[in-house]
Formats: sequence, C-alpha cells, structure tokens
Amino acid sequence: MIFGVIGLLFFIGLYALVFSRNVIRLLIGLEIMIKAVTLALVSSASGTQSPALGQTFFVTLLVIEVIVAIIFLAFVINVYSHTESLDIRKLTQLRG
Amino acid sequence: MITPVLLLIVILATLAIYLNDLLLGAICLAGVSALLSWVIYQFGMPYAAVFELSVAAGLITVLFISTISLVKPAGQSERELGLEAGNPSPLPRLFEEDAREGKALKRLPLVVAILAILLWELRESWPSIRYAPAFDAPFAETLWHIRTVDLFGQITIILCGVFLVVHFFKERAS
Repeated sequence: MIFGVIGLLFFIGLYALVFSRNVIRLLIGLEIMIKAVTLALVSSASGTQSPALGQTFFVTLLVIEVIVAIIFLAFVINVYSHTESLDIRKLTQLRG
Repeated sequence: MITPVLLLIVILATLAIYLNDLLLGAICLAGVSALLSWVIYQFGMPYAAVFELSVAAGLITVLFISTISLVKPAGQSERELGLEAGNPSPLPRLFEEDAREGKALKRLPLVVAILAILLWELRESWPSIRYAPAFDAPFAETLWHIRTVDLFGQITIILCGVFLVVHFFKERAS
C-alpha cells in the first residue's frame, strides 16, 4: 500500500513537471516528488527498525528540500521581474 | 488508520496541481506536509515528524504564499500572467496536443485514479522487499557522531543556497 502511494505521489509531481508551464506549479510538483522520496525513506527506515538513521537522513533531505525551494522561489521572483510572466517558455535567453 | 490518511495525501497532492489558484495549491501542499508529518509520527520518528510539520508545512508554505503575493497581485488571473492555454508546446509534436497545460492538468485526477486502480489490482505481483539489518543507535548519537559528515554536507548546501540567493538579488552595476 505505502509503495503504491509513493509511486502515485512521484507520478503526480512528474506529471506537473512535464505538463505545467507555470514556474510556481513546477516547484509544487518538485515538492510533491520530494514528499514521495520522504515517505519512501521513512517507510524504509521503519521497515529496517532503524528510526534514528532514518531521521538523520530525513534531516539532510529536509535541508536540501528547503534550500531548493528557497533558490527556486528567488528564481521565480527574478524571472517575474524580467519577463512580467510566470510562463517558463518565455525564458529564451540565458544572457544575464 | 494510516490508509485513509495516505489516500488523503494523494488527493491533496492531486488538488495542489489541479487547482487553478496557486494560493490554494500552496495550501494543499501544506496539507500534504501536515498529513505526512502525522504518518512519519506513526512510523515512530517523532523528531522527523516535528521537523516536517514546522519546516515543510510551515516555513515552505510561508515562502510560497509570500512569493505568490509578490508575483501575483490580488485578482490577477493566470491568463493575465501570460499563461493562457492553447499556446504551442515546447514538447515534441507527438505530445503537442496533450501538452497544453489547461487540458493536461484537467486530466490529472482521472489519470491518477486509473493509475491507483492499476496499482491496486497489481498489488499481489509487487516484488517483496528485503530490508537490511536493524541499526539501533539513539538519534542524537547517530546525528552528531556517527553521521557527522552529513552535517558538513548540510552546511555546504545552506551556504550554496545563501550565495545563490544573494547573487539573484544583488544590485546591478549599471
């Protein structure tokens, strides 16, 4: 059951990443994929009877999740100030 | 008891992508995090549950809502933000029809429901998982002594994040 839910969550996030053009929705999809990984980590740690190790890895994953979210949201604000849009397809120039 | 909560997590995650309103999407994502923290607690990891609830459901949601407020003034629709449906897709022609965001995202609940039914029907054929031996040191000792290297990695990631955010918002010379 739990692995089915992990697969579904990962699929939902991936679906958003593939089909969405809104940069904020892309980040929501990425966050959902990270939730799926979190659930996999927690259920595996529970299955191995190693909650301490699971929690330690979870803290690392949480730090990565927060930093990715912060950088992505800063990127969103920057994109909006340049293009006045949240459409990812309008990012056609890499020139700073 | 854990099964209905897991189903609720999937429903909220679907809504977070499906809803047109980004603010509601962010709130649904916070709901996913809050329910996930309950699941983590049920798995016997109270510290991780508290971190998930405070950081993922709290801090990240605040960041989301702040950003949405900054980039989307009240009453402004996605159409006005240049996200109207029906524009050509950047994906290959094979997926061009489906890649139109509006249609594709509207189909998401149906796709998730079909996938869930398929997974449920095939549950007997899932491979069994063999777990590694138990590791039973206390959490504090594991975090501060056994996995000390992870802390250096975390500090490095945080510094990289700070550097990037500073770089994003620095004043331009011109």
